[in-house]
Amino acid sequence: MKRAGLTLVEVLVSLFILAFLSSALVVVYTSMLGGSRKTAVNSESVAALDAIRDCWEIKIRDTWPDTPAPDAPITYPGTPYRDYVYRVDDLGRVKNPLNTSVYLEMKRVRLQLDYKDQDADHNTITRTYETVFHVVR
Amino acid sequence: MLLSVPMKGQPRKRAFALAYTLIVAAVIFLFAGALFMRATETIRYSGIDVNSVHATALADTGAQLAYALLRDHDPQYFKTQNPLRSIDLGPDFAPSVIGGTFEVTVDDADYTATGLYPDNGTFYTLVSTGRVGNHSARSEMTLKMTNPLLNYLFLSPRNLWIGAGTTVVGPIVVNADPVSGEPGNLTLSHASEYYNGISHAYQMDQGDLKLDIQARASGDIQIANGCDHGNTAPPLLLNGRYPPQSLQNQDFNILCTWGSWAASVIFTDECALEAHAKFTTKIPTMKKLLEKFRTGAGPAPLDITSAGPEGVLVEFTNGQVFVSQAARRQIGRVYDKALALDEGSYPMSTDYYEPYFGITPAQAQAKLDAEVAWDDPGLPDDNYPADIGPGTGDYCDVYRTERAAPLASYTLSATNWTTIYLTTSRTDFLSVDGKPMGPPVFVRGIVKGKVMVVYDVTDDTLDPNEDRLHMMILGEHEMPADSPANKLPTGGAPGVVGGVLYADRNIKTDPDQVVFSSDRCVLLCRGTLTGAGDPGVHRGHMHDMAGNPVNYRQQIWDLDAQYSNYYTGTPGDWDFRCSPNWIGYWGDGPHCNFYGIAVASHAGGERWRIRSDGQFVDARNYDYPGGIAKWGDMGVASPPAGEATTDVAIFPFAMRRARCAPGYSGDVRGSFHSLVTAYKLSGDAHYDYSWQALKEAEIRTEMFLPIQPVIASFQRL
Repeated sequence: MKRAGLTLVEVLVSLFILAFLSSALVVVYTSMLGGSRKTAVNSESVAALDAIRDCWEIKIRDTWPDTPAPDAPITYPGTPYRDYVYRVDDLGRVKNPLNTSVYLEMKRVRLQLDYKDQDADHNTITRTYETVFHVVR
Repeated sequence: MLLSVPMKGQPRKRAFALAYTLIVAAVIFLFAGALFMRATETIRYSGIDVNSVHATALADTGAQLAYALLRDHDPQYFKTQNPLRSIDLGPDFAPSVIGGTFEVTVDDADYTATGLYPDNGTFYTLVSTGRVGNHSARSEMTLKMTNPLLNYLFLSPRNLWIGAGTTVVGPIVVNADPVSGEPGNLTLSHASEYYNGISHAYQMDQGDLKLDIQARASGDIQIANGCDHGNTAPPLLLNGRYPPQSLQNQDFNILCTWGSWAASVIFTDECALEAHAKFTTKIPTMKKLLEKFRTGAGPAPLDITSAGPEGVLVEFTNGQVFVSQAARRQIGRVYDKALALDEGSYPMSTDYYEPYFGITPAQAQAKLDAEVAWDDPGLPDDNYPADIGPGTGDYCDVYRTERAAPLASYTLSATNWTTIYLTTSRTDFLSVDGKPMGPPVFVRGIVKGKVMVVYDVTDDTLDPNEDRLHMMILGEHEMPADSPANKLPTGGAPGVVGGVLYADRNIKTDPDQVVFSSDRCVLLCRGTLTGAGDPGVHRGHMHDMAGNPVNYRQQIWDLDAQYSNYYTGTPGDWDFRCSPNWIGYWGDGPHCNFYGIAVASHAGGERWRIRSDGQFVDARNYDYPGGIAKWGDMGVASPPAGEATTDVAIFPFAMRRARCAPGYSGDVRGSFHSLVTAYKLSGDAHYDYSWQALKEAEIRTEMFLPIQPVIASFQRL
């Protein structure tokens, strides 16, 4: 009697295809999950950098410091940014590009944000974001 | 049934394959759906990275740079370089320095005609695009092209204090201290205190504070009890709606020791307070304000150096301006004994003495008698007139400022500005106390038309600290006896009005007000600007030049009523009042009304010192200050026998004030700016919103003031 079902080869091939597709999906999904988690971590830091930049912009416009920024990183415990340290490396004046014999009421600020992250081995490491912005009084 | 076996003769079924396929498909869809959702999130988040932050920073940088160049370099520069690209701006803006590029476009189309912007000035639109790698971001600014001083009631470079008993209407900006960088605070105080020289103690001053303001400060906006020496504030009532702020008060709920008075801080529905504002509005420097006048782009200067220490009188009347040399005319004397008689009519001296020294009325009277009997070495002596004699005592002369030789005259226009540029090439006239100064400028009258009075030196070296030129709003009406040879008003008008008023007194104190005056007045002095005049108090028993007793105080009050009656039909209009309508030991200065915009380098505090030879306008806590009256403060070498060196001397104090005194209080209908010095407000102040509607062209070409953009809005797109 001739059997009408799948042959063993067909079943094995089907199972193989299924296993392959499933594995591929799991691998891709896992890597995407990891990547997106990584992105989420970064975006939080990026948002912090953005917020800190705004804060510093207001702060510098108000106080208009005429002394160099402190060498030591500045921390603000008790704020939403308590997990970060950041520093202002450059409070220099900017020359008027249309008349370089005078300065503008403008300061160039280099802001670094150090934040904690994990490497592939789950070791805690410090990464740094940096941006440059200008403040006009 | 997963492994079905078809019976012979039946059609071959593929049930297993179908079910299997469906299951596989479901799994695939499940995984794929989850994957796509996560991938979508990932893609969305991946767009926000440090480069996007940096692109935003660059867009902001471009917008702010263009704003700074428009403000500090040339408000028209974009007409030659538009768009402005960072790569064309030199090494400070090279991509390697700023980490990317930006490009700024300025649109100067006047969109007020299409209704996009409000019709209260000239607006530019500025769009800046920042680029880093594949990321780009845009920032947009709307700039009002104006002069900032025209747009605010107060534009203060430092802390601003608004005290009790005051009504304030209008927009206010308090900037950071330009020297120290400390944020500027706006303090609203329902209670303050002053030092009473009689009791040698601080006493409280209090009153309602009515605020219809739009205030922005770089620091805090505070409601504060200004009593720092143990006085308790009265119960404070807060009325109206207001945003949450850093409201500070030492003791709102402690009862006032002066009784059951309550002080209120009343916010109107229009009141808006914004602390720690992101953008400050830069105050133009005096040098910048005077730039066009200095370079000859403005009107020809009128040199008033020859007026000397007596100064000049600028008077507005009948749509004209008359600039004359000022003269000082003695109108009488005040004797110490006459002052005591006047005080006897209004026994405030004994009223003060009795409680503060804890003495009887008889002892208080004896104390007054001792002061009268004292021979003040700082004042001349003469025989008493017959009505108060016999004997000899101290006296002081009383003067009025009046018109002398004419220097120039102008006819005002209702539509175009008339700008009068006064200059001096001498600032070494010596005041009574030996301070160098230029000729003082006194201003008074009724403005009909548009006028601007500017006072400057011919060279900055003549006035390095911007404190040698003094302009004063003269709180004295022209009396019938003043300037008898060339009395200015005609048609039955009593004379030139004290203070500076508009002929049309409809001031636009509300942005929505429809009918308002087109009269305009701007006073711009590179030194100080204040009120001054002949005080009405301590004059009840004066003597004229013939030695006859005169109630000069009553004469001033009658003149107030006469002017008010002539111009308004009622005798009691506050705008025509040049003297307080009450007699008090402290309120011995003139009341000075001012319509228009006043701009000076200094106001208030220790810099508020104005003197001319023989008449002076002094400052609180300076020379013979009001509020603090100690022997030591007056520089008297030998106080009356038996008096402690710290005891007050009412009569010597009052007699030294019997000349041209500083404005005790004044009401502003327009705005008042001190470019350098912080100041306190005493008196009502209403901003005239019609100033905000001035167009760029009018400010630039008719008023000769610099155009400086004010940020109306800032957005990140």
